[in-house]
Amino acid sequence: MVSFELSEEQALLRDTCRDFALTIMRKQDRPADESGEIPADIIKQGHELGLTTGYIPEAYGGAGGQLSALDSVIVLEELAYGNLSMTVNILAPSLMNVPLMLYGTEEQKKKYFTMNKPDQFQGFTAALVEPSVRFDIESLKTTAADDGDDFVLNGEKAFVSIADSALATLVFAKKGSGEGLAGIDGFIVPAGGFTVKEREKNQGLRALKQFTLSLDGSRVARNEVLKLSGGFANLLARARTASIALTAGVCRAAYEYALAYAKERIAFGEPIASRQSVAFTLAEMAMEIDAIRLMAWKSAWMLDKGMDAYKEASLGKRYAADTAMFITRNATQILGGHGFVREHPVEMWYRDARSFAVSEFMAIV
Amino acid sequence: MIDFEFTPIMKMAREFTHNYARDVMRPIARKYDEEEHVEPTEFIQKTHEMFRSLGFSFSTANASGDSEEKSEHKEKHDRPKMEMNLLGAIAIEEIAWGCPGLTLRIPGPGLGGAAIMAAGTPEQKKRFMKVLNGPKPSYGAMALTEPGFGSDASAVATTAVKDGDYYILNGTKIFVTGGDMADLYVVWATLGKDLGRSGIKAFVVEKGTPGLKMARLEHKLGIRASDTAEVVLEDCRVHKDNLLGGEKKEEKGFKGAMQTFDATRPMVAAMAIGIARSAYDFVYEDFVVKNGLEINYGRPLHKRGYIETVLEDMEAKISAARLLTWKAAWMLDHSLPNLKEASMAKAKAGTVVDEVTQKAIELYGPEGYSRKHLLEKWMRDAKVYDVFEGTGQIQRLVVARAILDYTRKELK
Repeated sequence: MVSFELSEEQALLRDTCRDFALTIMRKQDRPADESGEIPADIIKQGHELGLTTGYIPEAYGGAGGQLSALDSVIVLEELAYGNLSMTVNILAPSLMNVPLMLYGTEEQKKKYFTMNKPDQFQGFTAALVEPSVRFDIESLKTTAADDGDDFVLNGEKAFVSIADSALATLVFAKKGSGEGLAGIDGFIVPAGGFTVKEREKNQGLRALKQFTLSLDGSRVARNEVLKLSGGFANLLARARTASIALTAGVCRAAYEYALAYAKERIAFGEPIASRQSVAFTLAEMAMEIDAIRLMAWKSAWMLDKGMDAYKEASLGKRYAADTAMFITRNATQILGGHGFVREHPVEMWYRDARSFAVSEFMAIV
Repeated sequence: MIDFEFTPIMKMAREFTHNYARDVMRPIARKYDEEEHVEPTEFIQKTHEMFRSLGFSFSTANASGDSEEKSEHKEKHDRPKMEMNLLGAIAIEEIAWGCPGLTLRIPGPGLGGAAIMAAGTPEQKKRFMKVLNGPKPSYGAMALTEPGFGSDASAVATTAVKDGDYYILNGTKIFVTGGDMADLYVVWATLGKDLGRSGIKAFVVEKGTPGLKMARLEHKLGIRASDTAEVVLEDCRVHKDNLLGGEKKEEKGFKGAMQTFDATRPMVAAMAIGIARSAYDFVYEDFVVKNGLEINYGRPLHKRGYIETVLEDMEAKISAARLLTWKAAWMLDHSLPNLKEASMAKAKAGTVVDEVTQKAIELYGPEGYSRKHLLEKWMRDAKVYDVFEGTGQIQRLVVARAILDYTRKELK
C-alpha cells in the first residue's frame, strides 16, 4: 500500500534530529568551517542520540532496534540540514557498524560492537576512495595478498573521515586482480595499522577531518576480514542512498535560507521574492528537493524490503548531486553579493554540496 | 509508514492498461495522428466497453472539494475509499504510453466531470455523472479558456444573465478538449464583471442545447487524435439547476474551477510521464536490448559513454517526476491539501517530458526525425503537457505563492 506518511516514531526521530541540527549544529557551523575543527561537545552530543548504535543487538551493548534504511535517510536529511561535516563525523561509526551488521561474523560483531560506547564517541570509519585522478571504484588499486594466516594490504586511501582518531578502519580492497565490484572485501585495520598522512584540504567539508592513508604491508588476520561475498555493491547502494538523503538536507538548508532572505530583502520597494524571476527559482528548488527526498525514500524502502537497490541508489545519487548544484548555486545567487561573502552560510552549503558528485561512502544507511 | 508497494489492484491495473496500450493503441497511434480530425470510432467504442466491463473509469471521482461526503465516508469506514487518484495516475501513465492523443479520446467524465465533482452539489454529481458513466460512450468537456485569456481564468468574459429559472449564456470558448464529441460542457461564465472572481460560475450545458455551437476544430502540433474545439454560446439558455454548486452566493464558483486542477494536474503529470517513458523505452530498446549497450549505473564518468549517461539521466528525471506525481495523487486520496504538490508534479513532468522526447530524437539520429517512427510524434505530443491545465509558468507561480505564503497581489 503506497504511503508517503512517516510513522509516529519516524516523525519523532525527524523532529529530534531537526532540533539538534538547528539548535546545536547550526550554532557552530561557521566557526567549525573556518577553524577546521568540530567542537568535541557537538560530536559527543550527536553521538549520544544513539544513531550509530540503535541497530546493534542488545547482547553487544546496542539498543537492539531494526537496521532501517528508511529511518536512516530521515536522520541523514535532518542532520545534513544542520551541517554536513558534523553529520559525517558523528555518523562515521556506522560506516563500519552497518557492514558488520550485514556481513560480519559473530566474533567480529562481538569484538567491535562492544567497542561502541553510548556515552563516548569511539570512532570507526571506512576507507574506500583512492588518491588518483579519475578514481575508479571498479578497479581498486589497494591489494590484499594472502600470506598464510594474514592478508597483507598495500595501497593508498584518501578522503578517509576521522582516520586519525578512529579505533578501527574498514579498508576496502581486492584479494585478486580484475575489474568489477564483486571481488571487493573489507579488512578491519586497527588504529596504528597504517600511516595517517596529511589531512585533506577540500573545497568544502572543511570542518571534517579527512586523511590520506598509506597501507604499506599492513597485516590483517584472517578473522579480521569482512567477507562480502559479492556484497560490496549492496553496501555501495546503501552508501549512495545515504548520499541522496544528505543532499536533500544540504539543499533544504540553502533553499530555506534563500527563501527567508528573499522575503526580507527589499529592492525597488518590494521584497525580491515578489519578483517572478526569484520566486520561480525558489519554486524550482522546492520541487527538486521534494523529488530528491522521495528518491532517497524509494531507494531506502527497496533496501529495507531486501530488494536490489543498486540502480535506484546510483542514478538517484547522480541526479541528486547534479540538482544540488542547481539548488545551492541559485541559493547563493538569490543572496547576490551576500551569497558570496562568508557572513552568510550559503556559500558554505554551495561548497559542501559539490562533494556529493565526487564522494563515495561518506555515510551509510 | 512510508511504502511504495502497489496493491494487487494497482498491479493489475498497470499490467492491464499497459497491455491495452501496447496492443490496441500503439498500432493505430500513427494513423490517427496523420488523419487529424478523423474520429477513432472503433477505438472509442472498444475502449468504452472494455473499461465499463471492468467498472473502471478515469473519472477523478475523489476530486477534492467534497469534504462533506468524505467525512461521512470516513466515519463509516475510517479509511479513504479505494485510492482512485493514485490508481488513476498509475493506469493513465500506461495508457498515455500507448498514445497521448488517443488517451484524451477515451470516453468518460473527463475534465468536465472533474469540475462537476469538485464544484457540484450532491444532486448534480449524481445526475451528471450518471450521464458521463452511462452505457454509451460519453464525454464531459471543460470550456474555460477564451480567445482573450488563457492562464488568467479570472478574466472570463462569457456572460450569464439571469432570466427567471434560466441563465442566458453568451460568449466564445476555445481549446475545449473533446469539444467535438462532448455530451456535457462545463462552461465558465461571469454573472457580472463588477463581481470579480466571486461572480464567475460554472454551468453544465448539455449537448443539443439551443445556442450551443461547435464552431471549428484546431489544427495542432500534437495530440492530433484528440480534437480541440472552439465552442460558441449564443443566447444559450441553461436551467438554474445546472449552475454548479447551486445559486447560493457563497457556493464555489471560481474556486471550484481551481480545485478541479488539484485533482487533474497529477493525472496530466502522469500522462506526461507516460509519454516520456515511451520515448525512453524506444531508445532503450534499440541501444540496450538490440545493440547491447550497457548502462553501468554509478560507474565513474570517465569510463562511460555519452549515450549511456543520457539514458541514465532520462530515467532519473522520469523517476523524479513520477514520485512527485504519486505523492500528489496520494495526498488527494487521503484528503490532504495538495495544491502545491499537484503543481510541482505537473511542472516537473511537463519539463521532463519535453526534455526526454527531444533528447530521444537526437540520440536516434536522422531516423528519430522520421515519421516512420513515433519518436517525433511523442515530442510533438509532449509540448502541450507543459501548456494545458496550467502552463509550467502558472505551476511555478502556484508553488511559489505556496512556499512564500504570498497572495495573488504579493506575487503577481
